[in-house]
Amino acid sequence: MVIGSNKNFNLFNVILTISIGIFGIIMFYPFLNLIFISFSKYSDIVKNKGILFYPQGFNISAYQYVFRYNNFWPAYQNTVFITLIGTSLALFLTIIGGYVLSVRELPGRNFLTTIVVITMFFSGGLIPGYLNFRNLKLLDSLWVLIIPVSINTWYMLLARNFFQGIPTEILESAKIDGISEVSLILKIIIPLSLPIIATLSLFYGVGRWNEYTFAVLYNSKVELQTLQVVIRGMYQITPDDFQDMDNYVPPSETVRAATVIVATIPILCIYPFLQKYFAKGIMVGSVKG
Amino acid sequence: MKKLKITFILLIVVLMLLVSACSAKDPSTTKEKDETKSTTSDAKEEETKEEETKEPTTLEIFGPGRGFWDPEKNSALKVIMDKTNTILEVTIPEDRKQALTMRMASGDVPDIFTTGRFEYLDYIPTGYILDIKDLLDEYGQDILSECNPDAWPYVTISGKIYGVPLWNNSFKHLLVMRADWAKNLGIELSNPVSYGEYGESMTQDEFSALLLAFTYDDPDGNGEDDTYGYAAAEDYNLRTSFTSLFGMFGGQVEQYYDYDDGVLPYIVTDDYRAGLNYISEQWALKTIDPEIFLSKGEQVQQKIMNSKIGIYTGWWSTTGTLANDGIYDLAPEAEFTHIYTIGNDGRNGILNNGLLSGVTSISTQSENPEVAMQFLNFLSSDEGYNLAGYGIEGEHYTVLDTGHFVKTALGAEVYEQWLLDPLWNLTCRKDVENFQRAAPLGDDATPLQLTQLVFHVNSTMNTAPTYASIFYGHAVPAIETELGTDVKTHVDQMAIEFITGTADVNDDEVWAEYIAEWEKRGGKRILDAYVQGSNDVYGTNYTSGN
Repeated sequence: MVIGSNKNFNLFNVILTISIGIFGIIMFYPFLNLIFISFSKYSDIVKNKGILFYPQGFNISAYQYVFRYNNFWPAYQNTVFITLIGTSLALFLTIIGGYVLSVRELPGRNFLTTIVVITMFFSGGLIPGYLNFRNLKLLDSLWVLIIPVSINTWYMLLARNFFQGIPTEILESAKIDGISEVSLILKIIIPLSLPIIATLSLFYGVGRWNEYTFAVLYNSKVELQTLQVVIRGMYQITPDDFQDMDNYVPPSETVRAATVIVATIPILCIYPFLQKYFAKGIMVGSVKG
Repeated sequence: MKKLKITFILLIVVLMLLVSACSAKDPSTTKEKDETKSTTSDAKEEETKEEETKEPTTLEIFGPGRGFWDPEKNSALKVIMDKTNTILEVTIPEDRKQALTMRMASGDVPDIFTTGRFEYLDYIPTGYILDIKDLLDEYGQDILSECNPDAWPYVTISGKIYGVPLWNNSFKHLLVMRADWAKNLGIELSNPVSYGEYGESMTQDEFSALLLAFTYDDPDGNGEDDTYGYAAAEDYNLRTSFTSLFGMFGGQVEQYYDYDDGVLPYIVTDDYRAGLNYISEQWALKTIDPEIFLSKGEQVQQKIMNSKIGIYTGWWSTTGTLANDGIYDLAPEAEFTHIYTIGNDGRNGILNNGLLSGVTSISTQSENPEVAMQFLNFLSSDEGYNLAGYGIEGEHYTVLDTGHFVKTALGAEVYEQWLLDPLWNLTCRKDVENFQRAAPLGDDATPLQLTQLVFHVNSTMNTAPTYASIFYGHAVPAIETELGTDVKTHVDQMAIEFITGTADVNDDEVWAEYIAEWEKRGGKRILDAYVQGSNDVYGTNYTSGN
């Protein structure tokens, strides 16, 4: 046993742990501060110049305002629906499309890939898009936030590249055993592709959750608003416009903090469940010799 | 293989062309077909006209970005629809301007829509804004009697009226003082503010003395040298942050006036130079918040809440906001009052924010413009205004013997949920009616309530002098769009240099360089364009000054 080298190793670990810990706290503290602000009285926030280490003058008026805000819960439901259905549909189409483009024997594969890539550089524009959705009767419907954006070509190319990385020997050995194409995808490709599926589901999910522009432009009905649109509306109705002395509105600082928490927490809760799939895939070592 | 590829590509292209050809409509053909249809069915229309007038008319309204449209929760909306025999489809878009622009570009224009102040000027070339002059004469008697008569010229171009001018409170940026600090220092206030009155007036010298006292004489009595005389409680903007100060020197930034030797923008005049000199003197005395050019409005408001600022310029509702946000928790002794400052030569005034908050227009595509006008007129009548703004009497509010309105529990709920805003924001009647009808506060009113009330009412009803540009409401010339940013950057940058002393505003050479640079960047060309435009469109006889 070399005592000297163990000492250096432990010291290094300790320094590293402390440094990363401090760095982590610095990165995490602003979010924690936001939570404290959302539960604090504004005058106490001001007194402490916005830096809090615990909620001061604890009150939940900001959350009460957010949760009671007209149309908040319907918008939340709409966003959950769009996220779940939109992400599922997007994943399905992206995986299928990516797999097809990854098959080397596909006739015209290069041509199809070129066509797909071209769509990444050019789009129809805002007005043609509006006219197109109007003609397809997608306006004023939640499906306008799901169908037109159901494939992100960049993500599809990512999926394609991932599938191309799967050793062909695995696929050939499965085909030799007489597996069908559909079973090949379901039983071999998808289980090996959990990392990319997890990644894409997070990308798509966050994108759908944060959807704002399409919701503003293509939906005019209040009952179809999404969470981000309602949150934006909350910021516009602030204590700056007093029309009624009885109509207390929590300070905008605390309302903003509360809306950030309410909008972010669901995504934060999902992320840890997907993180394990980002680890090294199980296919390493699956092909011997 | 190569031939196969080429054939395949050609097939795809032909297929795409076929698909697009089959789905495209020729607008002219469609229009001809529609016109043919209409001429042949005129006879039938005549026959069924009587029946059709009894059916409610559907109107699509693209409203201002406030409130929620929910007739189920606000029964007053159903009453309005019954009384006007309409079915209203109201859209309150989050980004009204972008959404409306898209609707116009796609030709799918709502029957009634509101635009921001002078945005309607941008839409006139589209041909979608109806000239409502004749409709107003026939159906708009309440609108004509209730709307501010001074506002109509701003929606009239070459004799055509392009919409109903929505009322605006002109007094937005007010000067507010910590009255308790003045009392602490033994400074007498001879005219404390009250309902309907403007507030305390003071001369330039009195104002200067107050700034010094608030900065150096420990006005809050905490024994610390931690206060400043003056700050701007909004994001820094040369136009608004010193509005009352420049008002003592005969004008406002970004405005044009007709002087003896012609029209000039205020920012090249000797008055402006004198104003900058005064502000730079205060800067040198350290009576102005040193972070005024950098701080966001919220940061300054926090300083005010922490009793660091004695006098501030802010949006009319800022003080009410501070009261709502808990300033009386931090400073229970705080008292606020409006003030306005009079220059040594007797000139005074603040920025006039204009007579328009927006314009409500009717689309040329509307199939029922008469019904649309009748609907808008109803909203301007007493009955319609009360329904839109207060709800149903007996259900949402009751009326006291004094004539004041008191909300019921249901009315308060509807109000809190912003369900009364959509249609109320389409009218041109004055907001002040809200407060004339609201029951006055009793002796048990809290400082919060008093502060909110005073600062809203006074900003609505006051008659303090204001400065207004002679080109208010005029279309922005193309040259301003092209060069205006560059000119503004120069003016803003030099203002900071003059105020902070980096450049000597009293040095004639430096001032001449400033003017020359303004001209070089296009300031004179913009001035000439405004003058020309005004003379051409409005028949004025202005000349550009030197």
